[in-house]
Amino acid sequence: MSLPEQAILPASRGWLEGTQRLAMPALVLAVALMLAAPFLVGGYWVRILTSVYMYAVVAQGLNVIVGFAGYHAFGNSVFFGVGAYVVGVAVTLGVPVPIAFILAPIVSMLGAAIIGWPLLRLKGHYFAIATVALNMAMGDLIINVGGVTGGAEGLPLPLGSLSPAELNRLIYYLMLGSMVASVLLVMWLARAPLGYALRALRDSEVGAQVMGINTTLAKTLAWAISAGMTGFVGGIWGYWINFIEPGSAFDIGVSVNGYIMMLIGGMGSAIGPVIGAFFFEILSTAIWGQFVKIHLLILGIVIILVVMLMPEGLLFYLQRVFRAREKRG
Amino acid sequence: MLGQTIVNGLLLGGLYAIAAVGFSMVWGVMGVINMAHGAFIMVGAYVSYFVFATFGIDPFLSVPLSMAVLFVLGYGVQRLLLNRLMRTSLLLSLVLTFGLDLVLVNIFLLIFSADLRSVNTFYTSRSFALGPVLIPYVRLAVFVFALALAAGFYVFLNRTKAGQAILATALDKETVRLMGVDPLKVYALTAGVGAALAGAAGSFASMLFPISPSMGITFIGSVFVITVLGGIGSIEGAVLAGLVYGLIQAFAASLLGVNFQEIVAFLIFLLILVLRPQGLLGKRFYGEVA
Amino acid sequence: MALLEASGVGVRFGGVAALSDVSFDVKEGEVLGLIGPNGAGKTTMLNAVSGVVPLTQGGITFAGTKIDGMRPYRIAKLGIARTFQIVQPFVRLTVRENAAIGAMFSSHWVPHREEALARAQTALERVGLAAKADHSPRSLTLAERKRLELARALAMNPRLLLLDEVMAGLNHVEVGRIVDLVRDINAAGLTIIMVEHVMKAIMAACHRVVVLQFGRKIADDAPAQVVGNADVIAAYLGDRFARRHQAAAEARA
Repeated sequence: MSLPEQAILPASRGWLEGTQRLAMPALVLAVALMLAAPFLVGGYWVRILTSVYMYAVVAQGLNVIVGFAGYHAFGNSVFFGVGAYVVGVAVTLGVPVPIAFILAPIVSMLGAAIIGWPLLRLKGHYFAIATVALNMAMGDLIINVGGVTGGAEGLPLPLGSLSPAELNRLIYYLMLGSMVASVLLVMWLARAPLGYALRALRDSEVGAQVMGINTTLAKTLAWAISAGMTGFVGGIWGYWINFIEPGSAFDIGVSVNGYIMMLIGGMGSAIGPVIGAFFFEILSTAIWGQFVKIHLLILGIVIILVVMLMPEGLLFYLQRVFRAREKRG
Repeated sequence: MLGQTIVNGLLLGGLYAIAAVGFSMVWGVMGVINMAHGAFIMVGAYVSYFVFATFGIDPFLSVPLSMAVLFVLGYGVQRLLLNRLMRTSLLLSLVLTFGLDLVLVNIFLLIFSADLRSVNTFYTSRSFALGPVLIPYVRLAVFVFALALAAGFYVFLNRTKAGQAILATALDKETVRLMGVDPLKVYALTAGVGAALAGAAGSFASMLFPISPSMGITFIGSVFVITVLGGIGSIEGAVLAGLVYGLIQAFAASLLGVNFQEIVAFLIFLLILVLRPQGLLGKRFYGEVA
Repeated sequence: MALLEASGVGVRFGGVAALSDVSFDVKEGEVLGLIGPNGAGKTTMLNAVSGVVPLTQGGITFAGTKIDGMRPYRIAKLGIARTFQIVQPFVRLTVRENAAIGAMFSSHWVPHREEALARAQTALERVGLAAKADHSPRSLTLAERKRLELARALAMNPRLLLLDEVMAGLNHVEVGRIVDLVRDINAAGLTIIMVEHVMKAIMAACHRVVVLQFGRKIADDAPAQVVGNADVIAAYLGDRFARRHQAAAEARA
């Protein structure tokens, strides 16, 4: 099996076996570059990369609930917003920032566990739109509750002691770390009993149950993990932009972008979402740069093209291309 | 006060109903959740606006035109794009139609900008009184036309050959092939008709509110709830649910304030999904196509 | 005490009674056949035992524990494994991983991945699928998929195995092989309930046969007696089978 092919194998085929041979040097180089980036490139690119890492985690979160468990949580961005608001409210109330960062995923996970109880019983499309409705409703709830959340006017955060450049750098590394952690998490999941349970229940829920899998527990855990990941980066984002308002915190676009990145990169594999995130953000930025006015239009066209031409995602498309070459060669 | 709320709710419900019928049908027959349905409504609204602003033609008269335009659009999208995806994951159709929605909304943003436009005819602000209740002429007319259209669609489905083909394909797309019906053509037809109904809803909407390219977003949320409430694939269900939804919105607005409308909608939605997923009138064999 | 006891089991789906007042025992080490015309309730019975379908009446106990009302995964952990009529392997996992699922989750303590894979390998060897361990289930023939179903169940190390028409769709050579496999597994101590239409398999492998018709039990006896039972002949086997069977028995005598 050739090197590039191993790079893109789904994680379930063995993580170390695949990645070790994978151009280990290439991987090391990539990580080194990412670590050094703030010292190599300007602030604009640092911010772009930070965004990429953030979206990679969102996409990875989707990978867990959609790619593994098969539950299409189209509205997973609700946890992003929850994370942002938890950090926002906590910091406003005087909670130390690191604690606030930890609270965000915890609250998100609890939320997923609670709302997952009724929602995860729903199948297919029903679940998908229930999550979308959930996302919309949370935004509305914040607007109506107002008070410490700032309601519709938004929540400005007290300025910290860091300079903008220092803040950007801190956030950059936090997001990079989150992304790496998310990849490791999915790699672990692929080999852990939970990962097997999820993939089994995705193919046949009854089949999984009669083999001893508590599918309710497995699904709920998956969603909680997904929510935790998403909530964590949501919280960091909230602190980063310093002003949280419901429209952007609960923007369904976060989920949609994450979904597209996951699809582009390839569901079910550990680095698919990361590849998708890079590809998509770079594409988006390039388009934005050239065609500010119509970039959403182009985005829409790109989405249509990707779905029509590469429905399984870049990763598996490339995998098939390489396999076909090997057979002929 | 109560009477006025009820009337307001019902009249608006008629519009909601016709907005949802096409969406429900498409979902029920082919399992496609058309995220661009809101954009289709918007396009219909703009067709009517354009014709009114340029030629002065009354919006009620332009309904057939917007239906025709949307039919072509819906048919084309299904035939050229979605039909290829029907065999693969239906999730992809969700993403594709989302992309389509982006494209449509942004094209119209470019052409018409985000400014609100209104269709104001001589009768737009006139109403008559029925006892203590004030009934705007336009709303009543829209209500009547919307329900008539829904009834016409019902007749089409149950009494014409094309309609029967659609119903049959929804029930069993394999067997229908043995009878000489090509499911893909039926899907394209269904999509076209569903889009046409959206177009009509858009035309009606243009008479009631100011329109803008992003008006679809407000519609899509309600359309979802109504579809699930009425039972996916059931026209009678969509109509009934549309009326119920209109009533609930009217009451929520008058009792709790306009802000709570969406939360109420979500709660209803959640309750239906958990307690009675087949909706009020849903049949087992429709929907759940995935 | 029997390993499995069904008493007065009734299952209704809406207005239809799929099972009414069905009672029988399965002793440890037995192979019990469950036969009857289509719609008799055979698969429903297996679904009831494995917890997939709730009982509307009666009860089922397994090794003294009441299992009706339990969730399927808990019943599985107690030691009951089953196959499905329409085979549904987990397509995103390899053949070996499919079997390993059984090993991983069938007891309350989850074993290490390596151990589960090893147990899976053993199960695959037992059914003769070891060569295809790393393949995707999609590349298997129907007969092989049926054997995978068996391997998945065996990897669970169950005390009771429920087989749902495992012979369906197989040619008579394949049937013979599976029958041998079933007899081997039973000889090693596993209790089995097999739902079957293939009478040859029932006759060859079962110690006892229960016959269902319209959701009710109409016979419960050794195979030889059951095929001679007039009710059973009328309901299911048909005169031709009975006559041929009789003739064969006389020829041997």
